[in-house]
Amino acid sequence: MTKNMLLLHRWLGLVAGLLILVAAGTAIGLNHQDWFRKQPVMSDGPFSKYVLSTAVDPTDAQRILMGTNDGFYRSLDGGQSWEEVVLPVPAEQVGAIQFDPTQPGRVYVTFREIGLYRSEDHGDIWEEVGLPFYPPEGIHLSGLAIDGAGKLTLATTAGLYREGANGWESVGGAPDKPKASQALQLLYDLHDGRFWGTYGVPITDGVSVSLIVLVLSGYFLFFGREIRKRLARRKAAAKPPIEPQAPRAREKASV
Amino acid sequence: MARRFLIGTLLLACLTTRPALAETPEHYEQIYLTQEQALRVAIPEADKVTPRPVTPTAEERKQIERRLGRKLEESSYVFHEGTRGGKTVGYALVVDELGKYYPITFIVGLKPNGEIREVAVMVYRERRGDAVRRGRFLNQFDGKTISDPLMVNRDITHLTGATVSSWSIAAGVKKALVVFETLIKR
Repeated sequence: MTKNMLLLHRWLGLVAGLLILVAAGTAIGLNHQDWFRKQPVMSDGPFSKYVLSTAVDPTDAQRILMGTNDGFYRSLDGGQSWEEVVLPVPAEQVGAIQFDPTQPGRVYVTFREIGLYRSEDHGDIWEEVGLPFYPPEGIHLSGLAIDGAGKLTLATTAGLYREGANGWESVGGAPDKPKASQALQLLYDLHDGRFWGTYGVPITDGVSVSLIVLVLSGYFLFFGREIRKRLARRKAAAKPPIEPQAPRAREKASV
Repeated sequence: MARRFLIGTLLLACLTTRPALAETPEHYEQIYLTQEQALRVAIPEADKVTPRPVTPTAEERKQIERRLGRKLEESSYVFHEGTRGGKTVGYALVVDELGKYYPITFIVGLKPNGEIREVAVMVYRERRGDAVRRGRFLNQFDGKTISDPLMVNRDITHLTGATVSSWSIAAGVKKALVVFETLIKR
């Protein structure tokens, strides 16, 4: 029984050690994601990307805006040539572009994880539109519609928001979504050490490195002992067998 | 005894770090550099630094806004011109750029030809995300010019856990370059 328990304990320890290596290694990887990130290559135009949205200026059919997974582009010649729209935030996942039918030159654009932006001059200068939530924290923008009165309807991962007389109004949806994302964020923060503030990350890195060293040194000790044992057994097996000795003279005499 | 001590330490740590999860963001001002220190970092060769206030005309303002793709909040800027033996050796502009909730104050040091020499965070006002003051992030701006995109996920890699602050600093550095090119270098 004790022997079996020891065997189980040993193999569970080995498996747990592997899991600790994975957990500690991935914690370090999560803390330093920029080690693995490649610098994106500048694209020549929008068509080499995933085009997610397109809109034509109702006052000038030559002016077209196009949003992709990682860029926001403008054409002033009906699509013959394109230039990247300059924005103060990364123009990623451009989900919707809508020209306001009531206000010539006014155009809105949504960036899924960043927010809603508005331009009053056909798309040259942009400003952020205030929302009742903060998209980088988990409620993402999925779609945008504009009615005949110029009022916006915003589809988000937490439900629909409509622009009313008193600002944005939530129209149902999934109210528990932000809580869920907060809990997830808490898990991430605990895992990578950010929960403990600025010095949490280096402390977590240190703990992770210690765990890795602990597991690797444990493996070295365990497998080293096993290897040494096997080598000793092999050495012993390779030695020539000991021949039986002849009885000593005194023993013979006494006999 | 040891277990009680461990539980007590964990509880204390949870209580002290609780504000990080609060809805209302905590104003947590950290001053890393005074203006004098920041100017020394931004224009290290200068033996004299002279403030040079500039106010864009309506046309210049529009031009800057078009190049930045956003509206300018400031009506004027104070560049600091660094000289050595009467010769201009660099410029610096202190920029306030909104982070997630509060502005981040940082200095952008420029060579006379408009190349970025140094970016340094002076004041950070939020509890999280102050990793953007580290060289690992800020050194990415060194040597960049107005012809570079200066955009996160283009030529600048954001810091995990400080995404919005990374956007803000990149946007502020770009603003400093465009304002310099339009109003100082011309």
